[in-house]
Amino acid sequence: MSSAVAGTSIRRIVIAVTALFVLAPILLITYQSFLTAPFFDPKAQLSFWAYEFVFKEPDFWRALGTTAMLAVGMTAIAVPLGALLAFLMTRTDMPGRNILEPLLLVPIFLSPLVLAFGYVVTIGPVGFITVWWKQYLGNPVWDIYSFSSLVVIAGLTHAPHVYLYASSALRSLPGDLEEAARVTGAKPARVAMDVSLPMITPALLFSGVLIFFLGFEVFGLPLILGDPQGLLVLSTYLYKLTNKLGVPSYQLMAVVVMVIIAVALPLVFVQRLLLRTAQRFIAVRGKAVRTNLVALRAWRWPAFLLIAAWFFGTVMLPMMGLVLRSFVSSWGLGINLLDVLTLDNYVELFDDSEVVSAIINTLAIATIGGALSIGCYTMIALAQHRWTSAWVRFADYIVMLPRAMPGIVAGLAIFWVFLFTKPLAPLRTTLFAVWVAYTLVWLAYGLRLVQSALLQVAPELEEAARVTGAGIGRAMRDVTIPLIKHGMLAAWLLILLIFVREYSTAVYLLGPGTEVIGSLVVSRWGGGAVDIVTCLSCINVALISLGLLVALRLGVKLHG
Amino acid sequence: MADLAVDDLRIRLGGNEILKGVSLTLRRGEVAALLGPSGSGKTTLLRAVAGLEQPYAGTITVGGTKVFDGAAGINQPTEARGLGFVFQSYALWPHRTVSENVAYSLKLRGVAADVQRDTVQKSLDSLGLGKLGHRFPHELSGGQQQRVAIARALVYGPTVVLLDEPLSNLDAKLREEARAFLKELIERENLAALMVTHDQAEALAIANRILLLNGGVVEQAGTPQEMYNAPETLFVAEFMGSNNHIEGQIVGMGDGRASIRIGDHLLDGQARCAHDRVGQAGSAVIRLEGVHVIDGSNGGQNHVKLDLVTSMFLGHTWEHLFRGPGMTIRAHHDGPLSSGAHWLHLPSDRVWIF
Repeated sequence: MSSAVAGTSIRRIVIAVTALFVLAPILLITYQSFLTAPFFDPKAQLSFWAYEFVFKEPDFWRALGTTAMLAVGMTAIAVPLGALLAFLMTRTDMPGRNILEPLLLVPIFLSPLVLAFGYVVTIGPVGFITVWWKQYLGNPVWDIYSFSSLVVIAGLTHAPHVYLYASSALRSLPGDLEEAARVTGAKPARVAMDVSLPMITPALLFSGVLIFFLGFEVFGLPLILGDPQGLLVLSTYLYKLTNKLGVPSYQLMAVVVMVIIAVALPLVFVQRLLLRTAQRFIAVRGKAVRTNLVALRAWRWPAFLLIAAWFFGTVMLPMMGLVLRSFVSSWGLGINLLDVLTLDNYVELFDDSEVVSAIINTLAIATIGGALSIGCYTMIALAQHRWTSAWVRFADYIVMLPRAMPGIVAGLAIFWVFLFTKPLAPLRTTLFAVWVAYTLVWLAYGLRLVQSALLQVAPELEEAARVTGAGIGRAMRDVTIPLIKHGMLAAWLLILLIFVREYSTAVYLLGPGTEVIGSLVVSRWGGGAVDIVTCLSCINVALISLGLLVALRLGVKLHG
Repeated sequence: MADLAVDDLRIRLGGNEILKGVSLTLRRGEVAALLGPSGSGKTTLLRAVAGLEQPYAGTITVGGTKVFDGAAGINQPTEARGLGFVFQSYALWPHRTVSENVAYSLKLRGVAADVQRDTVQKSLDSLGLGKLGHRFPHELSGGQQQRVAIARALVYGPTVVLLDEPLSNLDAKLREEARAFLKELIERENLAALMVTHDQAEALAIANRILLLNGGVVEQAGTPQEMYNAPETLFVAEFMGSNNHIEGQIVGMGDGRASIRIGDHLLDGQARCAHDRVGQAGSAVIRLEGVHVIDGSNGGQNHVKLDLVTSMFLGHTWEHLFRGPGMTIRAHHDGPLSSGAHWLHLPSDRVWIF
């Protein structure tokens, strides 16, 4: 009896701590948004002043409008493209599918910020391609800093998210459904339109909402590509607001954050609802028989070239520019590439103590911090595991809330929490604060990784331990955890990749001792240090590629 | 005193009443089979005894100790009940060897390592698994896995052992051997065994007592012979054995007997229904092996003449299908029959009228 009671109270404590961890930043933001001054200012009073101020700002409305248009635009590009990629990859005899398969997911793991840098140094006003184009062909026909470029780049880089859901829906589509249509007399294209597409509609709908939602979160792309033209979205507006009034304008930032959360939260719930519907569609499966692939005939190579072109434009082009730029001392019109090639950028990099500690900190937070985060996620997952209680339903909702907080918002909120809570204040300038913010931002994602590992454990394996005499805790320690070890390792690798990639979350926490690659490049780009930024970006990509290779080597599924 | 007693146990799962007051008692050396169609609550009952499902009323007593009492608020956790449980899927821990699987319960009880080793080896030896201790579960055949699961459930000496469809994962041939082995083991170890099965032949063969569950209540309980030869309800009659089921109108009743009219025929049989049913629709049920094919009729009671429709050779006997106005009857007979009409005798002491 006592062990069961102890087990239950541990579960309750874990869930309560999680709730505190999630709710404290949100409550603080809400409170701050109703103050007339920063919360540490003794003159701060409760009022709607900040709301009135922000809602009267034309810039705010412009940023909101731009965000909405960006979200719609990138959804309109990413969903059809992602669905097409998925169809070609899973249902046709297109050549080179095995090579393309892992490559398609690469953009998900690359930092959009790094991609944006890559685009600027490749096809920006003085990018490699632009300069060569000017030399031989005259004025370029594109403008990287325009809104339409931003939309196209955001759409292309987000297509893999759609591909992920559409392809897994297509794969789990029972082959006999399509074969039944073929037998009845439908041609392959007809089958695709009448059977396959309707069957994966829930997955497409879900990924559409997901992309729209991500459109509200994007920070790196608009910061780099939109800023030079004064093009602001909500997240960059928030970032610029930091010094709007000359003094820290926390109350205004809090209002913008409230708006972002107010838009994102319903979208999170819609996604949850749609995902359930999508899974219901997948659940009705017949026998998993491999269908005959659709023969593309003359279209085989054009289809391959389409995907190759997409991959080249989205990954190769910016990456090649980035790598090249990191090996030249300067670049512009009339400069011969061979004259400026150098290794100095990398050599000088290591003279910059801030850069060195950023690299070390990034590695530490990704490996050790990632492991600690997985530890936390596992505890939360185990607290909910095989327990039917109102507490579990409560926890289900709580862990979704951080999804409505983009990295930059969560980083800001954690910064405030550390400022607000006196005992925590000394930790604010340490890597611990950054780790807390990372763990909060990726809570829902990491938890899902651990939970899907837990789902693989048959309940009777744990019950067998219980009947032979083990208490709940003992059964978890001796049976559940050993059985999910591999799942936890895979989850750690994925979280590690994501922590290396992360940039926006640490922006507000940036300071001596808390610098990570992501936040440092944001601040250095602002200072115009292109050499350092491109070198650091290359190092970032190299670390991620290494991690990806290890993950693929170990057979980790890249989608949780 | 009973080693396992369940009294008026009630379970609700997600608003559905799964068990509506079930009672049973079980002594050492006895095997009780919980039999019933899927959804009858038999597995839920077994799991509730182990503490894996949560009843809301009733009592469960193991070896004289109340482990659950809905009214008194007693609810011992699973691990404190000291039962043996054999899972349908065996639930062998894939990350532990056979020996480690079996030794786990001893380890939990703080048994010294060398005693553990001896006890485990003895247990494995007695089940014919002596040399397999170092293997992992996936390296064993289905039959061996089942024996490991049994060894793991019994190694710490529980008196009550619960078995959830222990034979269902074995192929047909192996199942019959395992059935005999299991019965012998339970008698030898003097255990009180409660076993869930949906296979009536298995229940008849292995159990001393059968509880037939239907919709969360015990429809009938008794020895296998009683259950087979004296079913109290139509459900029990239909569930056990292979039956002929003939619809008709009850025309007379008295002295424990009843007669039913089917078209032109009048059948006499054992009354299994209330007196006020005379004049109403009823059913006559007779086992396939109860029907006799006779050479000719002397005009006796319960003789009917039907056309042979088809015949099937079953190996140890033949099954013939007969049809006439208002009735279709299958019968076992030890040889083939010529086509055309045949006389059948449906002995009145083997016909039940519901």
